[in-house]
Amino acid sequence: MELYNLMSFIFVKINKTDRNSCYNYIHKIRGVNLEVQSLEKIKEYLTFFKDFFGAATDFNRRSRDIMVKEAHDVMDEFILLCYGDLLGIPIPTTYYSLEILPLIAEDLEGWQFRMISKMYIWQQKWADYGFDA
Amino acid sequence: MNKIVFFGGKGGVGKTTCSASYALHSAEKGLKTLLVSTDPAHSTSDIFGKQITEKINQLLPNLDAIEISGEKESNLYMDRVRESLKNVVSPVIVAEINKQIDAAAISPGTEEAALFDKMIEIIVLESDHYDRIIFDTAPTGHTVRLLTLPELLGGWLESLIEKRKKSISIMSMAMNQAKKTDENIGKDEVIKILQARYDRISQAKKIMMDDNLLSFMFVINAEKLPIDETRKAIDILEKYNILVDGVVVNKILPDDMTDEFWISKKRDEQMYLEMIRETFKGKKIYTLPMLKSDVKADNIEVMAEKFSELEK
Repeated sequence: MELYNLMSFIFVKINKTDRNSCYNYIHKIRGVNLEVQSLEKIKEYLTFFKDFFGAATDFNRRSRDIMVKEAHDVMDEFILLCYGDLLGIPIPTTYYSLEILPLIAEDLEGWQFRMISKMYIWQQKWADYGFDA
Repeated sequence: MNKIVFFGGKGGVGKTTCSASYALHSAEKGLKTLLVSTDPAHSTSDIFGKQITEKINQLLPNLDAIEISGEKESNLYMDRVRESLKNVVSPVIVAEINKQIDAAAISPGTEEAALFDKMIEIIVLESDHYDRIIFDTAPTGHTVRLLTLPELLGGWLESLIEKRKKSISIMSMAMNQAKKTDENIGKDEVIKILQARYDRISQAKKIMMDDNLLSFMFVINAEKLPIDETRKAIDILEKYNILVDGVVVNKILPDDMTDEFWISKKRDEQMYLEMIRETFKGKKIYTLPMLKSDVKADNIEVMAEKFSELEK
């Protein structure tokens, strides 16, 4: 099960497609339906296997952390699109984002802090690749 | 003429007079008519000599009217948000959030957005009850921005929903629930709210772009500046696929002028009328006379009759 999740995540990373098409993709490989038509396709599969085994043998379970972090990053972008004016970025649609405020409110404080401390970009990049202590 | 008609134009050209007399004309023709005033100056009440409120009330048989205000609508909306805030979060955060709501209340565009919301609501809810809905709008720039809002909002909402879904699906994978992703997305309150708004905006967009349903009438005077401004506004509206049906030239001087000053004025007017016919070729052009006294309840009939004559 875990493997299955992992694979679909990697495919999101590689293909930037949605989850459903990833599943289809995986089913395709399982059924050894390897109709490789071009060099592009071969490259794609190679990258997939590389990433797949890389993640599957990652026993420190860092891959899960990366996924959680990615989800949080997307959420941060979401809040930025809604409440950018809290950081001084004028957003013409503030009026409409007010109605989801009660649902987002609890994340808002942490988000503001994260956005403001984004100036330490190097530290953040180190953390992305696991070089922070 | 279409079911939903917007009257717009430069300030002071007589939008309220035209929309009121057009509404009266429609009502007399036997169409059940709703007149919606969105102008912050609210002069429709003055014309009919009756109080028009924010609830639909009857002016004459077949003619109902409502006055909507951006300020009131936005306050109602903010109160709703505050209300739902109480159930969800801790009191410490509530204080912080209230600050944010107060800031939004005075930010530019808020009243505009509230007004737009209310207009969509009226269009969607009342279309079935009326044969014709007439909007008396605020001056040009404002209205044009208002009608182009769905385009802007639609794109923004789409990207928000997309982001939220992506975040949830990645989170589901991380939590070993990849198979439950759709279920998790369906349960998400934020997406529900955004989706509801998106659906409403799309509905409004569809109505606005339907040339058989909604059209726009520009009111101008036979003067240089209104012609220029209206031409620009029409260009913008047509870019957004909103049909501009006709141009009403208001305050035409009578023919029998004796005074030298007025004769020269009349000559200028003829020149501008020529220019209007040239500039707005292909659109219906209505001309309305300037009356001896202000248009009020007792002489609005005259204007309404003009519309019937012109429509024949």
